[in-house]
Amino acid sequence: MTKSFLSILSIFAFSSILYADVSIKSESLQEKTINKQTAWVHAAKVIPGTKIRYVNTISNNGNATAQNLVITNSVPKHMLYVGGSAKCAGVCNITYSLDGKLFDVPSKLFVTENGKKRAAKAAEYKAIRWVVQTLDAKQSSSVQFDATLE
Amino acid sequence: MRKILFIALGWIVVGITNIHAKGVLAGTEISNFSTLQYEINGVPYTVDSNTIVDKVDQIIDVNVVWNDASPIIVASGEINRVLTFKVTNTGNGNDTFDLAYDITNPSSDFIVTNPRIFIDTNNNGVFDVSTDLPVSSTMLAADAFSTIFLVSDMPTNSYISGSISSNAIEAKSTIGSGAPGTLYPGAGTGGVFAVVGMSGGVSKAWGEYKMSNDLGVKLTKSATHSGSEVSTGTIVSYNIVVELQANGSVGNLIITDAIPAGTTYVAGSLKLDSVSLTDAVDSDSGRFTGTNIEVNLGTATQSLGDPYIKNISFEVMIS
Repeated sequence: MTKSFLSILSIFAFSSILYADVSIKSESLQEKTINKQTAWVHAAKVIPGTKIRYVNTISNNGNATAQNLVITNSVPKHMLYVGGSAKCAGVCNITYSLDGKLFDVPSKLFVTENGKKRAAKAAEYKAIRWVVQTLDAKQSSSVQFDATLE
Repeated sequence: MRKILFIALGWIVVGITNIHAKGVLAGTEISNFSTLQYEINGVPYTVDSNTIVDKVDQIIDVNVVWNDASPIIVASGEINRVLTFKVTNTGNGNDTFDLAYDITNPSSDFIVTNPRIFIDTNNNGVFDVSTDLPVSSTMLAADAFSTIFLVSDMPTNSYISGSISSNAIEAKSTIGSGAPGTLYPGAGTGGVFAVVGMSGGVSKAWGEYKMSNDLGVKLTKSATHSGSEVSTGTIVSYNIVVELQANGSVGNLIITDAIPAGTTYVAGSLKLDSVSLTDAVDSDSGRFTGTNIEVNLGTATQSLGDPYIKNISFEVMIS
């Protein structure tokens, strides 16, 4: 009887279907100081010069490891990317784009100004891309960047 | 207008220290979303995030500057003398600013009278007494400005030259003012939050009148002659323009000019503003002394909009 029950369980486990269910949630946060303590809370009072932190949380709700996760976030209109602010919770590869199409590392991003080629400024980045190799089932991770309102 | 006012210290955010004269307009929606691509066992998937929208709140800021290059030279008793100011909405939304004058600066040597505030209705940068309208406030879009005139009369008492009178224009937001960071919920453009900026929602600038009793008389002499060449018998016509260099009065103003050597005065040629004067010493203001022409202009007076200008002319003949 016991042997028969384990056998059924074994069959069920090996025959379970792998399914994909990875979600992404975006939030905008703002720095707030209370009693000299700084915290990032949901953005509420946004005026020119305000720095907003955009956080994208990815959650693997499926039963299989997700691979080659690519998160792309355009810098919102009227916002200027803050150099060096793009990060991820674990290990990732971060690249940037000046047109939202071609992505590369900062040392390979250039603009032409008055006929002269120069390194692109962080505030000129139009999009950010994070590549995360894997996200195990039932796990979450996040990526983020800061931008300042013009 | 009733306003709910409270100060949320925690919200004196970074933005307050980074205010731009020009910023994104209040009420603008800033939206963001991201895209995720991934694989499960080599099968690609794509999913979009939710879209978040943050609405830009309003900064209340204003700047007033005195726009005259230097103190306005005035004389006792003058009326409608003008100080020019520029009021700029340095916030990022529409705002109406109450305007007020201040003529009681303790450092002033004299106090003006009858102060009034006008707006440069025709935007020509100059006070036009019959065109520009009196105002008590000005409504400005973000980054827009108004030219504001403080028009005053000068006291009739005498003051020494160089006496200064400092007078100010103050502009104050009708949305709200106070310590930077003060919040006015729902009071901004389109109902967004309004936040007092670094100006405190109010700005004041001082301008100066400078008393001068040194009016000064300006003489400009020119000559023309008959014929194409100057030789014996040529008639040379001289014209002297007499002007005052400031508003006010000059008494016993007598203009004298010597007849040049080698020339002879043309009898009866002396004129004041094209009206002939006799050469004799009589009831009119001019005479020829034998060596000079002389015109007694008496008291010369100039006021705003009524400049003093006289033309004296006479002729000589080359001997």
